[in-house]
Amino acid sequence: MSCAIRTYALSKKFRRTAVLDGLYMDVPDGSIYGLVGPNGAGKTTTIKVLMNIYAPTAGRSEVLGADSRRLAPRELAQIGYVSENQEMPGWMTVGYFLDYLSHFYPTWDRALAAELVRQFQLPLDRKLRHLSHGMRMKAALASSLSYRPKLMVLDEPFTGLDALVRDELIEGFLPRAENTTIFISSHDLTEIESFASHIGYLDRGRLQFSEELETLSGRFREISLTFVEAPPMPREWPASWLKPETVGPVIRFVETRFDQERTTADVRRTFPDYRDMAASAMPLRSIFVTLAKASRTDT
Amino acid sequence: MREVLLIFRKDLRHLWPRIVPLLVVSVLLGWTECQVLRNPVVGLLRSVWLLAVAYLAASVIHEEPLPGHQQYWLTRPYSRRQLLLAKGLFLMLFAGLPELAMEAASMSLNGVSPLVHIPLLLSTTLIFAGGASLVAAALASVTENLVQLLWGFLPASGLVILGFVLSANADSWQNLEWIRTSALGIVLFAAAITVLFLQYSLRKTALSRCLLGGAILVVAAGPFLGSWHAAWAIASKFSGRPLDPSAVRLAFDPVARPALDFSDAFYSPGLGQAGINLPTLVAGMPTGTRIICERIAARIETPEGRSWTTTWNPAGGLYSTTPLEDAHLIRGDGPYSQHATIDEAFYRAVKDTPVHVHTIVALTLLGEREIAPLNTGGTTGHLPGEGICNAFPGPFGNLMVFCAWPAPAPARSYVLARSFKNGQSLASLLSLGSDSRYSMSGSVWDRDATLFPPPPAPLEMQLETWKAVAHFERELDIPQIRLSGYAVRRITDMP
Repeated sequence: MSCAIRTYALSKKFRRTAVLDGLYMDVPDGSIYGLVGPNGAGKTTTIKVLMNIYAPTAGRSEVLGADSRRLAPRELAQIGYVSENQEMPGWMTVGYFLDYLSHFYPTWDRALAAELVRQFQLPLDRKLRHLSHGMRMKAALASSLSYRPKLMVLDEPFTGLDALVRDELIEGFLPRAENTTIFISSHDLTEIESFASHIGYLDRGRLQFSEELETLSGRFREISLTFVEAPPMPREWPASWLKPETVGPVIRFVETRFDQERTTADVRRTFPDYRDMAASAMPLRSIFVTLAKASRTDT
Repeated sequence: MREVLLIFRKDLRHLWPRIVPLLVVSVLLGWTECQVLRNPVVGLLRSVWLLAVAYLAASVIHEEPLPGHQQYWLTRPYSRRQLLLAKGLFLMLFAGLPELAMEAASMSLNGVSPLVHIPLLLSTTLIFAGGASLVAAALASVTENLVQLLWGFLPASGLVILGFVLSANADSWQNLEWIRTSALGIVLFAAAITVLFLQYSLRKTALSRCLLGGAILVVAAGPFLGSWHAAWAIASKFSGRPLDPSAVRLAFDPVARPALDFSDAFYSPGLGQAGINLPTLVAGMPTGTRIICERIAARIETPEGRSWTTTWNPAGGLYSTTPLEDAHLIRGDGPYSQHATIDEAFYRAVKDTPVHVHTIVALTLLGEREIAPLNTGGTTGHLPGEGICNAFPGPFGNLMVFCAWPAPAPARSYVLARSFKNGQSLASLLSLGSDSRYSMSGSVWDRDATLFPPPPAPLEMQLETWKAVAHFERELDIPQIRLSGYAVRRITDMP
């Protein structure tokens, strides 16, 4: 599998605080990879190390086959980076900003840039500092899509945006990124779920899992067991069952390795006298919350 | 190069409101530089110009700030080398070139060909426009914006000023001060270049800040660093020695009457000090030369093993027994005095016992004398060393003569005035030039002035200039001498 991004035991410390702790991650070419995790998990730090904004404390990472510590203009000309807290040259007008940057990219497509400006309704003669946050994000996105990058790195691009602008952004960049690998960190799991092909879950600087969204959705199920009367909770409990709760004669938990036959067998072994079992698919948001809570309980 | 020009054009588009004031100040400074003998505000304007250059240098670096992690340009395909080149080009065009042009115009308008002085023009531009830009750029490269820069700049300036204030009583090296200034300048420039390299190649902000802070500390402590004698040794190595001073000899003259009273001795000892005057014969001076005594070091030893050693002291040394205005000038072979100050308690303890005295004097041989007539009123050009002078009436009936030379000024220059009416003449010391090979003032001009009561009119005036042709030392060893016989009395010691 060829990968747009690869990290090997990547670590980053700020003084004595370890933010990334031996991170191994592969982002396959052509994927839309959503990096999710709770606040402080290290998502932004990971991205900044990948973009050579921060130097790693240990380990290494490759971006488009190049060591991220040595990202040269040639590689950067194929990477689009958009971050919610990026500082833009506020004195430039949108038009000048796009024109200025166009000279740095051999693959800059003026027609595409004009189309993006039209679609995002960007005012060309307005200074960047006078744009709203949403418009600034659109300008940043337009300036990063116009050269058809091989890799788009988006750091929390939807933070602080209303639903309409989010939709406009997604509608703006997804159709134009067919041959682009997209690496996106976000809290907006509903949006991520709608277009991501792969998900990585980062917690306390470590990747807890990284897999295709379809596989992930397939292995997480909320199981509801119905009994005649409220059962006692067993002492032994499979490690893959999280967040157990009892509501009257019903026990609910999250199965993180769902397999119809194996899970049914496990349930029979643990609760021989259950009356009924229901397994329902979980949205990404619920999976994320379950994992985050389980992680806090472990801590 | 295309990228350099792109960044340059972008910076020009944004920073033109800051370029225009700098150009206006440059024009004003150029105009005052052209009035080389008249304009008293040139120093003030030069300070304003330096601040404007520093501000522009900081601004252009802050267009793409280096510290931080949110700048848009970090993830764009900028080549750091091209970025630095663009900044260099910008500063060269808007700080260096105007200075070069204004200094060249100033020379040309004052009758000095700039083409003959290209090294001086380039070194002045490089040191001042380049230096101010470089230091400001280095400071800007470790800060994110102007506010942060000011937080760094103000304490740094305060520290340097404090160093100078505290050094008010420290040893000034006078004409050798350029060696210390150059060494400190090299430290600062080297630190600034290293910081720019570190920041533009590796973005090591913490390390760069430490480096720059260390260099500023060294500069602040500068007035206390180094020894005069080491600087003297360096200056001696640099001196071309077109005239050989090896024949110059000093000898103690035991039969001469020493200058003992404050009235006939040039030096009078201060509180806690005693002064001794040793009659000294100077011989072997090459024809057509003069000698300047720069400093003296002395060692006095008693037969019992007690001793007193002075450091290299500018107060004292070989001086003329009949001083006019330049007591340290040795005009030819003959009798002179050698003055040394010693600790009063030591003097009292040993004054009546025979002691061993050993002195070393640091001497500069002056040669290549030139002399030219000077107008008694108004400007005279094409003087020795391509100097120009302006003579005009000064306050209280004095005559003021203001001269300027393309740096450096002659090592010694005098205005000679002689009355046609009664033959009275005088030589007024005009300049004690630096040994520096380049300008230390930020201008291509070295300026000096003298004020003196002129002899009765009508009179004629001349400008006499000397070059320093060699630096050397001479020792004087007196195996046995009673100091009390050579002590200088203070006015308070008089009966």
